[in-house]
Amino acid sequence: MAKRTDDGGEKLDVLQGTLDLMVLQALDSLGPQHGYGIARRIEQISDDILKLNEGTVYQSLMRLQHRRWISATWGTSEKNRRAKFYAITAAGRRQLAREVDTWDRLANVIARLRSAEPV
Amino acid sequence: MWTRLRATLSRLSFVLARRRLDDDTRREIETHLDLLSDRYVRQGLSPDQAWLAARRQFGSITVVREELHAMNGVTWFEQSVGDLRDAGRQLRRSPGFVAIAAIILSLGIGGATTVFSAVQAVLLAPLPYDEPGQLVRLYQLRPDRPDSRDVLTGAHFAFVREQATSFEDVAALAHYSETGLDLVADGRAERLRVLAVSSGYFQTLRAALPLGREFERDDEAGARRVVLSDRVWRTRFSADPAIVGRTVRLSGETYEVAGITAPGFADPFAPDVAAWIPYALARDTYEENNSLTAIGRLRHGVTLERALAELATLEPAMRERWPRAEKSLVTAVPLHEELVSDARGPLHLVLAAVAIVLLIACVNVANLALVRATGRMHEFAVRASLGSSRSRLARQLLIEHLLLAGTGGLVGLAVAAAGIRVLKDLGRQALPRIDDVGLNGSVLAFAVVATAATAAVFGVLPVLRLAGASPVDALRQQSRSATGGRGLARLRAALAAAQVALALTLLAGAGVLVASFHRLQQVDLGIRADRVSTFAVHLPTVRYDAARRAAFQEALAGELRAIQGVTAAGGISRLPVTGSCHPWNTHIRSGPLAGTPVDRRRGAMQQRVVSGDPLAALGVPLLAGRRFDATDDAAAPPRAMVSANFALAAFPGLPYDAVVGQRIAVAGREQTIVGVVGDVALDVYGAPTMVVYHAHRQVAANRNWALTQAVAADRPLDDLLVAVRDVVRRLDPELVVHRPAPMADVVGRGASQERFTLVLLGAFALVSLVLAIVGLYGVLTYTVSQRTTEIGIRMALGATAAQVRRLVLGQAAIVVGLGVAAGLGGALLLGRWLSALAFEVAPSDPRILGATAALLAAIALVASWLPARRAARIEPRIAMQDAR
Repeated sequence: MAKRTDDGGEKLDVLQGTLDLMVLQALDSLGPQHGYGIARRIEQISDDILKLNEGTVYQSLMRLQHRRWISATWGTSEKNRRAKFYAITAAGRRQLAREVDTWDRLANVIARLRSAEPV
Repeated sequence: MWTRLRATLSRLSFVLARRRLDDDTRREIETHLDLLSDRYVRQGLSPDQAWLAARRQFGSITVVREELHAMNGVTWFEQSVGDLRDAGRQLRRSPGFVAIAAIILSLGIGGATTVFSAVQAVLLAPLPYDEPGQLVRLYQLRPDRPDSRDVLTGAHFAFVREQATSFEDVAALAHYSETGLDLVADGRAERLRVLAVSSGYFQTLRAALPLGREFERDDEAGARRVVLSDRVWRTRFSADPAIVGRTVRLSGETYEVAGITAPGFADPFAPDVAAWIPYALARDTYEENNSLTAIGRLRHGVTLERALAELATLEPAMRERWPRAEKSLVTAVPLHEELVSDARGPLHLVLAAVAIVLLIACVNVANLALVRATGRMHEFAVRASLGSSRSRLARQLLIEHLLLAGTGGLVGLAVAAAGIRVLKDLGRQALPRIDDVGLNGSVLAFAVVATAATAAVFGVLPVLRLAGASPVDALRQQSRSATGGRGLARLRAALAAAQVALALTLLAGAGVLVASFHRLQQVDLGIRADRVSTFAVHLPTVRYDAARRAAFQEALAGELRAIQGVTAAGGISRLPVTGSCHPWNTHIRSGPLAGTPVDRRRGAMQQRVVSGDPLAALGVPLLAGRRFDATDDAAAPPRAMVSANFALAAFPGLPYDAVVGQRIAVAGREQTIVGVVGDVALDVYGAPTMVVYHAHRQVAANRNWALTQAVAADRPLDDLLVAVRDVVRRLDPELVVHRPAPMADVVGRGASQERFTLVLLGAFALVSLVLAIVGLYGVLTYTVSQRTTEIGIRMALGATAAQVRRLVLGQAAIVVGLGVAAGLGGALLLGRWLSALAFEVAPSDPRILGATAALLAAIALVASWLPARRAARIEPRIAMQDAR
């Protein structure tokens, strides 16, 4: 579903599985991070294309924890606020590699479909 | 699979940490919102605006928190706990229904558990010996006559022991007559049941003696050695290990204690044996003396078929060596089968009966549950329309039913505990291994499975009905009449008919057994059992030689006859009607068949040793010649009395008077017939047998005969016993009066298996009858209440009370008619099973089937009369007001 925004462009809804992948990718590139930081990273990278209720990041984090793909520890954030820091685990890295591979292959297929000559 | 399991386990750890995690979430979200609004403040928004913007960007805090909470729960588990709580609440709301259903279910589950405990211990449990599957029992028979199966002779046993390679070990047990010895230690005497066994007995059963060593071949010459049971060792010798090798006194003779058995060891045939002595196999060389129970342990890897094939190859050699022994083939059967095969028929029948009771109980409760479920149609419709899924509703009903069945199961366990006690009492004479029956692990497991199965059976209909109902329909027609409906009435009537059918099946079965038992008691056994008392006195060999034994038995008979009220008395080596004993070979030596043997089929021919006149005491008439008297002593030529059927078979064409004076030879000993007496039966079924009687005084030297005394007196046993004890004490103060019992009880013991089956089947039939009638009554009462309006209208339009009654009774007639028809079919099916147990009664006997069907119909009519009368008393005005 797409919603019209003030600037007239369209923002994309984020699918659950995709969000999980993005969170994993963010943790992989940034190292241990709290939920706010992850939300900022996704916002920054996606160049405001994605529409994200930041609360859903926490659902994603919980899902990933259940699968033991990330771990969490309490720490202190900027301005001395207590925050939970999440870090990707070895299993999480393997999963990330698998998912990225899937994405790449899927993107490849779609690209080839689009470039194919109509018969 | 593995990943899923891990995810579930990991999730469980989150469940445990849930409260802490909820807290974490709250603080995390706070931090997030703070940081976010800080950013908006930096971008120039006021703190309030920044906070609102942060909230907008975050989304709903409540939704996030709730979803996180839910993610950390195991939903189905929590819902089930909730359902269980709900179910408990629902059931508490209708205590009457719960109580009735639990009682009905507990009868079914408890009964089934009771019977299963017996099936488990008697039929299913392996024999309590190491590798019991390897154990076999050996028999001997004529190669051309499978029905001539007999126990072994010492000679054939020894031959098989030497020659057969299929067996790791074999052993012979002298079971054919019961031996007892008096153990005297510390001045206290106790009579022990003693079993004479060959060497290798304990080895064959793999029951190594923890103390001492078992008998060797050398002991088979008749060594005075004894192995004591663990119980005797503990109770009489304070578990003193030094007793092994020392001597004990048994009935006045000294025996060396060879060893002590392991705790809990028991002989497979006679569990109450308390001491084992060597059997003098070396002296048992007569090739026609079939008297030994033989067992063997198959070698590893040797199948029964291979062992049988090997035994068959030994047959020619045995026939050549003992040409006179016609039973020249030795055969083997699995020991377990041998021990339990007699109990299988009765137990399977009782199991089938209790399964029927359980089924009736299920149907009955299903019927109750249906009515209750119908009453809750509205509730379920509301819940379904509010978004409860069908599976969720079905699951809740299922949990309610499981809870109900569980209550029934718990009460059922109490019923089973009581039932097992009754069953053990009832089965003591009728079943082997009855002592092992109890509430053990497998029986409890059975009870749990039976409970779950019960819940499934009685729960499925209500669940289908409720879960299948469309909420819209149910909500629309929420009046009482609509929730019932004709479909339901028909379903309930069908269930009631099914109960009637099952009850009739069982009743007919019980009827057959009652008729059969009645027949059994009408059988002419050739004796008079009432007003006859029996007991035994054992004479220690050390103090009583042959002459003393002969003198004592005659003196005892004389003294007993002198007791006031006694009409006749005497001893006999085995009471009539109590089975086979001493089937010695008998040859005819004079008359038309001179030189031929008498029928050698098992049980066809019996020998009895008598002192005094037990035949007179038992009412066996003298038909010709005379009874034994004082002239038939050891010095006189051997004499015999014979039964009438023997006289007819051995001397065809001769009148009884002419049979007197004829000659026969029993086990090679030639004797003259001095009297012909009436026939007696071999067992309680009236199986005919020919009997030759020997005078104890003439055969007292043969062995120390254990004679059972029979005393005819018009005094009750207890009263008579006082006088009997006086007499025995006068003759020898050290002797004991053993096992006093009225003859009627002795005979009754022979029919104990019939009584066992009859009592249990009768009890179950009664329970099923009550349940079926209650079920029928319930259905009729319900229909009357359903049709109150209709009946009211009919009466308002002029229907008479009689017509209304006929309406209700007509419905009852349809239900009962269908049930009876189906039940008769069931009875015929069950009858095929019964025919093996029924005595001279055909299970398909139309008189029995007709009588039970009529009985059931009559009771059903009475049960229907009450609802019919209630219907006829309906006030049209009130009924029609109700309808509004």
